[in-house]
Amino acid sequence: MSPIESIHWERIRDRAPDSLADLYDGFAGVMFSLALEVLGDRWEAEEVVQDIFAYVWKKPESYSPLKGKFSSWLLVITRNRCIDRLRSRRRKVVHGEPIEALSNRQDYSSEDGAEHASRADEKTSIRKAFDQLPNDQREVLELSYFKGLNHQEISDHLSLSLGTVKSRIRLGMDKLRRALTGLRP
Amino acid sequence: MHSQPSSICRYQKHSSLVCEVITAQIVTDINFILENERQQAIDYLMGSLSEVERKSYEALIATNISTKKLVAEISDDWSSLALLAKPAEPNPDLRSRTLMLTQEPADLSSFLESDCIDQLRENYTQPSQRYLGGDGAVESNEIKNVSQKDGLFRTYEHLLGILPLVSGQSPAAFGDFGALQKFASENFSIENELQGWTDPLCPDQNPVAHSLQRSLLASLPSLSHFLDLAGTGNIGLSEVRRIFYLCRDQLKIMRASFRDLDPQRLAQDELIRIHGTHLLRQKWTGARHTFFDSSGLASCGNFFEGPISERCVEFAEYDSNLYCLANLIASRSSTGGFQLELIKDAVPGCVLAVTHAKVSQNMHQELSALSSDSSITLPDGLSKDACLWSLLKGSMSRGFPHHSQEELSEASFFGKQRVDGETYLWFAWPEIENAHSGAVASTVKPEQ
Repeated sequence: MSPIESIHWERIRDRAPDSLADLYDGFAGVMFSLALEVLGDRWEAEEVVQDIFAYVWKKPESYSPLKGKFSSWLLVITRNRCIDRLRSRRRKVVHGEPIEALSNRQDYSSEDGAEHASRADEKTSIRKAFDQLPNDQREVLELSYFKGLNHQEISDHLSLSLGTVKSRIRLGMDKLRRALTGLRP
Repeated sequence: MHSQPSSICRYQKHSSLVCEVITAQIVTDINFILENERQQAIDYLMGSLSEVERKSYEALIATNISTKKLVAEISDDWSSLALLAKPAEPNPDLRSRTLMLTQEPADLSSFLESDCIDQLRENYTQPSQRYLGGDGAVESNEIKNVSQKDGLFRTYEHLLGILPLVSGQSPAAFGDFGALQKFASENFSIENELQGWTDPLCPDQNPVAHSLQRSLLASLPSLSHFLDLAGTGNIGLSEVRRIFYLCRDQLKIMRASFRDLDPQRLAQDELIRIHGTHLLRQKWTGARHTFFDSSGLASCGNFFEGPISERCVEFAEYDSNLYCLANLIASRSSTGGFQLELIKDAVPGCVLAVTHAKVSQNMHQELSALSSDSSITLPDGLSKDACLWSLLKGSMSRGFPHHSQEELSEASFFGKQRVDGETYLWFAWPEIENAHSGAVASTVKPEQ
């Protein structure tokens, strides 16, 4: 975990004055952008962001440096909660599903805790790396990450076998990893 | 030089070939295992594992360092995709609402140890069957006054027209208030409807009167205030958001009050769907709430995390009760602010919904004088407040049908009291056991 990220989390954990404000100022923008992209609804996106800050504030121990980098963890839970909402929209009423079933998924992550400037650099690189992926890999990653479709749904949507969907996602992720390796400490 | 027999050479050649094949097989197997592990980590992060697989994988993460590392690594790549999202700025008031979360919740020990709450603890019993809302509904043709009935339908239709104009996907949610302003200024005034309906109001126990009053007095006054602002164009994103929540709640409250108002949507509201306390925290934190000429800023203090109602019609009734308390306290707060608390376990078997604020002695006495007994002459201007209290009492009777209203009041199932200069208003509601299963509601795509 980078020192900046480490400080953010430790200050939250230690209840330091302004620690939540600083965390908000550093990360709310990217979290909100992601939530809005996935949900397409401003009020829902705001609810997700507010809920996550409440969660982090109340249960800072739910994150641990062993899970990786703090900023990635924040983005993973943002995305997960948005996808839960998307699925809940689709599901509407299905009996037998336990409350908050999907939200209970643990959130593991790691990443650069960079503030705005380095994030802008990273963003440009990710866009470039993503645009260089073959169309078929880009498509499945978008459907999965931003639309929240699971493997079976992607397979149905694109009329592909489940195995093909899985391997396209894996290959796309591997290529992204290679392209981004140089960016990371 | 001694040459090896051809059989040995053949054997060596053969064994080296076997070694190569075995090595290749091992490499293939390792690659397969690595790929498989990687695939499983990706599936986990994408939420594609079944419940059983997810739990078993999380157990593996907890015990296996290399799996944990792999998941962290892939999660790193995975989350970097977030940066592909189109940049968007959150509403500035999201920051202030978020920072309210860091405020220490009020210390409620004096209130929770008060005689009233002790009395509730001693007397509280779970109803044999948990109330799921909806029992207060009447048919609109039971309204004798034709203009009141017309007003009810007009208002409902008007609000159905407003809702898409303030949704999170509307132009207004992104700063273009034109369509909202046009609709709010050109169409009829809810304020006028309110005037027509509320003169005179009396705290009647009649179910039809209650349904009308619930439709009029719970969330409509605050909604009317913000819609008037929208009509003048004097609004920002915070007000649009507030209109959205109020409008959605108001529509549900109206449907839950008059069962023939919109039977199709009511049928959806009657399905089993768990509502969590987070839905209330989201909409109440930092909310500016108005009740006719007065207003107050809400904050959320002690909020337990968990389910609060099992159907939309029950949530509508719970909401309506909270609005009644908020209307009563917001208009009397001496600081301009009031707090909402949702407390579980202080009284076994129930959830306490509490509103409280600093209130002057005079104002507190005014509240104490409220009664549902219509034979009591109320001071000027208090008839609406008495109706609010009466609505709460009616709802409590439905929630706990094995007690009379007097018993519920005496046993402090609901009440008002002053502790250390603060006025507390509260009601108890049967808790939902966590083991309950059913669909999960979200505020998100309201069933209008």
